[in-house]
Amino acid sequence: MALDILDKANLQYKFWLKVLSSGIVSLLFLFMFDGSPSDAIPAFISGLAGYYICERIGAYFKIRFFAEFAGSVVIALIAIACVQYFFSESLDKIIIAGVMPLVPGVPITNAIRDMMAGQLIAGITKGVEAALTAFAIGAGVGVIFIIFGGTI
Amino acid sequence: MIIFQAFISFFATLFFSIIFNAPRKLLIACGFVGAIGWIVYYIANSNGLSDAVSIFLEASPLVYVHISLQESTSVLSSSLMYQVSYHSSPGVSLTMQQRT
Repeated sequence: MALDILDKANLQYKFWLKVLSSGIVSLLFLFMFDGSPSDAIPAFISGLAGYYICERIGAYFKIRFFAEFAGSVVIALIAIACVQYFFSESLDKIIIAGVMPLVPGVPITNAIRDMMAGQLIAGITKGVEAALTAFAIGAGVGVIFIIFGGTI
Repeated sequence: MIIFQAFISFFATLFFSIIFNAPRKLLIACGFVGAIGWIVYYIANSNGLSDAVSIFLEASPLVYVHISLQESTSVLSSSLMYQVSYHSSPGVSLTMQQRT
């Protein structure tokens, strides 16, 4: 009975609210990392667009870790375009702030908690998944840096 | 500067909790725990301690506040801990949809 209620319950927030909050998270993380106010708008846009692309592609393709790759590609492209054509200053801070909604912190915490509780297999698999997700994000940013490396 | 950092980290944690579907009545609590943790990290790190030591110091008030919030709101706060521990680990992933 309670399980039926839980099965039918809609516990998610609205999608547009999540996308908007990811943009705000990127904006606030820029200031937590001592960014300058001229980078605020690129950080907001890149965080918002990165999370949106990641969610959409993750729902569309069934390839693991491709969504994070595509999201970080979009984030790096927006950051490079803003640094080149607008008055933004620091490329690295925009990318770090924009990537914050994507990077796996909760799975790392859960993996350590699982291992401390004795669930060794669950902990190791979650840890490997978190590491591969982080690798995908880094690869996405790195590919864009290699392609546009001469123009920065 | 510390007040500004506390303000910023409060709202950052709050919006992170929205991304990860925290229960609506826990959002303010998540914000407070995140702000307290970030303040401890910020003070420790700006006084010359290394990153690892600062994060280790950050974790103890996080757990204390988290337990006292659990007693006062009578909500199982394991999800609260997940939302606020993103400082200590590099970011948050999309797989968590833990609800109380």
